Amino acid sequence: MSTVIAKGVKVQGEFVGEGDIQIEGEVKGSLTTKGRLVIGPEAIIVADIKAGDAVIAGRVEGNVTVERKVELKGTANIKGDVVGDLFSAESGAKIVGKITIGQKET
Amino acid sequence: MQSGYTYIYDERLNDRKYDRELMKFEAEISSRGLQGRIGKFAMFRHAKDIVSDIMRDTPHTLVVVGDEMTLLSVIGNLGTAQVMIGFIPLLGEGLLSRSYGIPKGLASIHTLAGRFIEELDIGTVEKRLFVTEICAIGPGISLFVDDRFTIETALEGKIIIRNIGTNADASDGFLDLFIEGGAEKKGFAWLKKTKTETSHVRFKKATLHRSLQGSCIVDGVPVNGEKLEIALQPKALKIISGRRGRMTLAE
Repeated sequence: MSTVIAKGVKVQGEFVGEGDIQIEGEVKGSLTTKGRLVIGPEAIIVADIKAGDAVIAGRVEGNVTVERKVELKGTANIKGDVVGDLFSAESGAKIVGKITIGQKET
Repeated sequence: MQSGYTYIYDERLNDRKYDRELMKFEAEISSRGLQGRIGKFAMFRHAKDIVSDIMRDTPHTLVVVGDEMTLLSVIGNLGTAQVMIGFIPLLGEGLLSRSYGIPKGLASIHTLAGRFIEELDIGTVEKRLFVTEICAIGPGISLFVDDRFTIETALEGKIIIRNIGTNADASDGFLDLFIEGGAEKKGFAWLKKTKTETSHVRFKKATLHRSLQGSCIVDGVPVNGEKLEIALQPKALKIISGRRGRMTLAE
């Protein structure tokens, strides 16, 4: 069973998951997993993110560093830099920051 | 003195309606060479003293005769004692007997005689051991998890910290935290159920902070305290199991 932070639940600190993570609530601090990270449309993340893959539909304030694919849904709202190997974004997704694709910064 | 088997009988077995079954049970264990000292156990009176007294003779195998509450209460009061646990559910089955293939009644003697063991993780809350789960309900519950992060609900919620049971594996080296509720529901939103209403996080240790307005139940027993230290002892409980597929032969 994957890690889930449901709506109404708040996490603060250094949140590290073992595998896939789904966030529908709030996270402040940092968020790390080697697995797939899914950020729901009502989630609020104020954290730097590191993940294997990421699907973002909610609000993120922080830098997003992804090993493989970053997928932004139309409701995504990101204030921060995005780094990944592959990238896709639906119409309506907002980013205030630099996008680096295929040239991962270390 | 090192002895082999010690049996702990739930005091409810003193009722005469169990006389016949107990006689059959004692005859059967005797015929199989499994006989040993017998102690009586009262769950709600001096449970810790009774278990300490029984453990003084350092039995190799402690066999609990009763139901799941008897078993959980005995294990909860073992402290740091290392002992192999057998279970004879004469008073009824439960999660543990079902999970570990221990049949109800006298049929469980076959499991005991088989002496196949499984090693289970066991939880600690303060200095008490727990096998199944902690359930805390009320406002103002938060956990500081693995010395890394705090997790809390916005509103009143129900927190379950599970070692054995649905979506929890007692041999994976983790406790499973489930948080139910917490989201504010407006209008008819309470009618909607989505699969993400329950949070789930795996961890090894945590500090639970709670308000005394709520309740906190550990293995079916209420506990007090606004701050509870929770941890996991991996593979610390050896139980004689009826699930042959995953077991090793006991010494």
